[in-house]
Amino acid sequence: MTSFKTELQAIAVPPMFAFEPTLENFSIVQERSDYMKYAINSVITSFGATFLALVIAVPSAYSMAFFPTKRTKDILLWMLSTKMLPAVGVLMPIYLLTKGAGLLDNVLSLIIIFTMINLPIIMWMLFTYFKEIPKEILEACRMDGATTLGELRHVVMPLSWGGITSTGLLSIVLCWNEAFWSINLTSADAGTLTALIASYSSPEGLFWAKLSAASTLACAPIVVFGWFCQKQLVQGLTFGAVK
Amino acid sequence: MSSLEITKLHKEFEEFHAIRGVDLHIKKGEFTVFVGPSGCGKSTLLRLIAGLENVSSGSIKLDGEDITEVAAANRGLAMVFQSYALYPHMSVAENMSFALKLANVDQDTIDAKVNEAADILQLGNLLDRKPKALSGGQRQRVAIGRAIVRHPSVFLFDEPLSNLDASLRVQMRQELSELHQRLKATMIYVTHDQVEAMTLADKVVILNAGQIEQVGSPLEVYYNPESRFVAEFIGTPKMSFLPVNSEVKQLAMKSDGGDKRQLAQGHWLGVRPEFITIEPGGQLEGTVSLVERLGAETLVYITYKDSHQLAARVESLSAINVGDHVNFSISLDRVHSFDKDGRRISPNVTDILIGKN
Ligand SMILES: Nc1ncnc2c1ncn2[C@@H]1O[C@H](COP(=O)(O)OP(=O)(O)OP(=O)(O)O)[C@@H](O)[C@H]1O
Ligand SMILES: [Mg+2]
Repeated sequence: MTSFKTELQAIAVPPMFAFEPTLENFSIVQERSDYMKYAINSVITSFGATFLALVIAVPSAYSMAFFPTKRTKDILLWMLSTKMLPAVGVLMPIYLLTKGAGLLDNVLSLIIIFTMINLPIIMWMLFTYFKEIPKEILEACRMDGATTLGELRHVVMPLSWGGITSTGLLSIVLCWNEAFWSINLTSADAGTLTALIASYSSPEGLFWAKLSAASTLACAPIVVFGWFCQKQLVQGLTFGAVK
Repeated sequence: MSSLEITKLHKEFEEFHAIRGVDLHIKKGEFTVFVGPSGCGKSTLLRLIAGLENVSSGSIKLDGEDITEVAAANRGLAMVFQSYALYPHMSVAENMSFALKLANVDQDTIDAKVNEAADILQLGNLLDRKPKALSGGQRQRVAIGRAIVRHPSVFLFDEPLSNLDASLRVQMRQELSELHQRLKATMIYVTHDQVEAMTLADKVVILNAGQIEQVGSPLEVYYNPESRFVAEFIGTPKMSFLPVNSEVKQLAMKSDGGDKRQLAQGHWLGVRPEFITIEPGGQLEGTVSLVERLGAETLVYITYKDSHQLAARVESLSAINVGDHVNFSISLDRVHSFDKDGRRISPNVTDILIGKN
């Protein structure tokens, strides 16, 4: 809402509910910084990280779900526990590592970091989806002469396709909204939309209306994207229920 | 069609020794049934043959070739699972043709083979359905069809009929028997249903706690059980057991011939229900504890000496009721005797009893 007000209207107390909508903020935001560039960075990082994470997680979750060892449970718990570590705690080492690798303000470093952040959750989700596939079906597939890759391609992936897509969508949304790392590791070149929003709460002052405009612009694509994928998501969540 | 040679096979799960030294030879074209109580290792043995479990020690040879370390996918065996394990996202035809597609068989051959299998199993009009839309019996047929199309060297079945209702089970049992006649394939079949074992098998393998108790034709294991375990397991109702006490001993002494010293204290006599006769002149006495009228026959359970239950088969319209005191006799020439450890004492032991009654 605020994004359609002028700066004065935005900070008015009490807040105004009836006002003349203006698009002024949007154009200012666009003028000050190239929205498209940030948007493209967001797209590249979230899709790239999601793709990378899936490529890593599908085989690992497969082996954990179908060839469990005594330690499988522990590993899963440990992975989840890494999510509980506050990100600030590892900011320094990661910042230095990225700097050392010359990847500061580079999309690649963001992709790698996003992948690592989301990997535990993705593994967990895939693990639970895979667990639902009866073991015998995979054994039947092996008896039919399929290799591990064949099993994944012909049976595991088709049977958990819904689960894999919803996991992927979730990961994209999470990456898209990830602010901490993009603010700290990027500036002009590799900045994502979240970094763009953050730049409006700068030491020079808070620009509520412009900040909101930027937020709206940042959220809009993912909301639209999510809306389009909704059908897919719901389908995915219910598919596993029917054997 | 292949032969199979299993030598000194062991399987140890983390803390459980499931298969404890199995030696077994299965001939070409033979229908072999693994039977035994729950948890005795039937499925594990079958899965070892299939390659779905790793062998701990010992070897498996298929047509003389060692396949112990060969992956399941490359053994060329087909398995039918208890839960059918059909691919839910594929139609009946796709389920059956999957293995052939993986093997890059050309489409015409695939179609021909699928149609042939569909004919044998009467699945012709269901080829486009998904497994979800099939009944239990139809799913089972598809699972069998999936095996047939591959012309595997050995068919493996793990309790394929146990999820079906009784009448369908009988029907499928007959169909399987016909299928074996028709394909002349080597088949290994796991069941804990001894009727299935007796009716289907050329060779019955009775397993107990990870070891083979006895191997033989159905009639061999019925008439010549080598251990009390086998004697008790094969046959419905179960064989009854009498402890060798003074009364029984006396009975035997009155008979002529044989080495009566074998009838030591602690040994057991096993009697099939058809060899116990309820008659006024019988030397043994007991109380009827249960009467089962099955139509064609009636089973009478007699409690002997307050603790041993014996099953007798009597004519269908017998007037015997629960609580009756009855006299009965045993056809001593048809009795098996077992030592304290349940091993059968040499077959001759029963001979000493011949001539009584
Ligand atoms: N993956 C496993 N890990 C540990 N123990 C196992 C495993 N699979 C089987 N066992 C054990 O091995 C023994 C034999 O199991 P198996 O499944 O072969 O029995 P079964 O004869 O097929 O019984 P049922 O008639 O109930 O199917 C059982 O005691 C079982 O608990
Ligand atoms: Mg079993």
